[in-house]
Amino acid sequence: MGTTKNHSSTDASRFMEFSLGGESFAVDLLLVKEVITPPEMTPIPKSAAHVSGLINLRGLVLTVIDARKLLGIQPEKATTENAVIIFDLGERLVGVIVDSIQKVLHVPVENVKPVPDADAATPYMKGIIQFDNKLTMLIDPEILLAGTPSAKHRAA
Amino acid sequence: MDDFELEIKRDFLQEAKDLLQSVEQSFLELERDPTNQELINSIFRFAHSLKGTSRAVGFGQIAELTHSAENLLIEIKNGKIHVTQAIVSILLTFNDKVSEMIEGLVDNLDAVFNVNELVFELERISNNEPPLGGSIAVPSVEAFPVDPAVLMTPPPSDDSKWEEEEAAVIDPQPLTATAPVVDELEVPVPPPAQAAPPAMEKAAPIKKERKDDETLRVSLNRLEKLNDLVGELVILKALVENSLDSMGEHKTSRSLGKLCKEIQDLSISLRMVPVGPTFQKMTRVVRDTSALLEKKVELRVIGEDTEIDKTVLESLGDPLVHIIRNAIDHGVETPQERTAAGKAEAGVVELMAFHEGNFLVIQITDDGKGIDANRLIEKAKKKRIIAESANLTEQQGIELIFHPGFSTKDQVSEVSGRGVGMDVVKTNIEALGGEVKVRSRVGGGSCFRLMLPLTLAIIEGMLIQTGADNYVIPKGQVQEIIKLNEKDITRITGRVPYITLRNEIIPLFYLQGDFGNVKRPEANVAVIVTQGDVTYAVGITDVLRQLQVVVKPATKEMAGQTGVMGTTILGNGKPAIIIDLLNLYMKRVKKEATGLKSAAA
Repeated sequence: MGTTKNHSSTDASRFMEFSLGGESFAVDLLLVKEVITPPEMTPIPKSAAHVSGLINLRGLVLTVIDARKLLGIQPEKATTENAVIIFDLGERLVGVIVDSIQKVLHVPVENVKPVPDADAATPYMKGIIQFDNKLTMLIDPEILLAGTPSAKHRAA
Repeated sequence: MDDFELEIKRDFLQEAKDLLQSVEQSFLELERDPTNQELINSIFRFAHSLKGTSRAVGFGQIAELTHSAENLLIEIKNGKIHVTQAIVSILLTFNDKVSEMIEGLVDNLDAVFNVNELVFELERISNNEPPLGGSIAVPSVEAFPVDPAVLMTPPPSDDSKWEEEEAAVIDPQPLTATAPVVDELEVPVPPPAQAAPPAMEKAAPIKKERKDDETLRVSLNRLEKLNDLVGELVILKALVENSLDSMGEHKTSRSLGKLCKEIQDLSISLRMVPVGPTFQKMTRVVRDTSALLEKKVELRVIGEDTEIDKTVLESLGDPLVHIIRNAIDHGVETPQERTAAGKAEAGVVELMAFHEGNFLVIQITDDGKGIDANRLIEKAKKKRIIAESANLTEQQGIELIFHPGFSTKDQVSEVSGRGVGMDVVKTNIEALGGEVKVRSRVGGGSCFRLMLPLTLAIIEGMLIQTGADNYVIPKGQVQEIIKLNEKDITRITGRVPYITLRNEIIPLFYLQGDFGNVKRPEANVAVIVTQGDVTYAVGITDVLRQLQVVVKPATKEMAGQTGVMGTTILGNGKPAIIIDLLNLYMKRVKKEATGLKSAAA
């Protein structure tokens, strides 16, 4: 995680980078409550395909969403690297399954670029992080998860 | 406004709200016992400190209003003005006004109110000027008769009162053992021992001060969090117990089990509060309603210390107010009618709370004229609520009062009888997982019995299996469980299949199909659910066992999904969905029921 060289912390932000089907994505680290290994899940009947089920997080029941299915990315085979990111979105906690967690990025603010107009159709894209000669998609989990009611009847 | 100032203002409002509630009781008490100097003193002290504190935190209008109330109280204290019902009414109006202002200030700390009229009225009365009969409504009913027994009862010394209080605190459920179980209502005879409520019993503000020292305000969120964590602890405990036992550490394992159980019981009990404060509010309801209707009504309260989950209690206030108003309006007769019927002039409304199994029972009994089933049936037929040819039993007739849009009073009155009411009460109580029952006898009075789950946090459930999935259903919704044989199922194309149960044709739904995506659902067992006069069967694979589950909210992502009551965590640590069979099927059943009858005919 030693990616913080040459930048003071005042004008830099921290992001968690994870991968989905070989692509890199990042989210604001402050929204991440914790990361756990995928536990056994209880399926929710009549729910959309991207809803994996319910988990017990130390006495709290949370819904877990499969980010790969939600974004239409071909899921990789289950590996020991698979992880569930627990997002704290203020009024609720939600789990999101990802292929693997990469690292925590410490990025200067100016390296976070706005989304090109062509991608305006995907409102959950908050920006693009240009770092280490690589582009990483910055996702706003709040928008990504808000537009995806788990129950089919609501989507209908 | 800085944070500190904001905080003291908020604290003041919260505290004042509690104090006002208890002082209201003192005002009502004063009406019954107008010469109780100690009571007058405690009210005076309250007003004085309210004035001081409200001024200190910057609520000048409350201070101004309280100042004029205080002036009136000084006159009363010095014996210059005698307490009459009119005086109590103005004091109650003052109490209402301050409560209203506090509510307003909670929303907006800079709210401004119109207090001039009331200040003027208070000043006028303090100066012993005759009433103008203007803006402030003082019910023109003669003062309640003061029971001489009450006046003669020597006020118990302070010490004995504390003892009484302590005793009540030590014994957490004093009513469980002794509570009478009134299933069949006979004429409600008031227990003679209760005839003269000792006047000192409820010197609320004085008691309150002492209580407050020993309690701590904790947010409900933190309690719920504690409950969640304790639930986890209990699950982990089961695992640890096993390994301890395999290591031969039986004693340690037993101690651990005991300790966990105690912690769990305690954490659940933290949500429990006594019904007392809610019951006390009814004193005011009775007073105002009976004054308005020019009836004489005495309210008897039994079992105030009985405890119930805070969230259940909160939704109980409105139904209680409604039933009590109804009891006074429709039940209790006028003094003239009562005398003619050979009853005491003053009617009695009894409010009683006690525990029965896992339920809290609240019984509201009046000794009024009862419910005339025949009149109700006649009226229901006229209103086409029931068929002209319907043949109802007396009990069924009485239960018509729960029918939506049913009001029996020939003239819609100001108090009750807007035609909305008892059906709402019933719906509200049922939404809490409770039940309402009514018994009545013409001339003898009526008794409403509300059965409420002690807590919404824990329910008795059944773990069921349908296909490969396990769910929990509330045991309360299950009437019976039957074995399902394919040959007992009658299928009609395009309709829900039905089964015959004791000559009754009931629709059969498959949980696997309705709460899942299975195209060709199967079932070995059917759960029979009865709600009102509707019965239906829900086919499942198996019933695994009965269990008590801690109800947790459904996740936000599941919001709006029909049939989900909540979630829970099973003994193995896995989450499970609690299915509300009533919610899942009610609409469909009603539609099917009409169809089935015609199909069967």
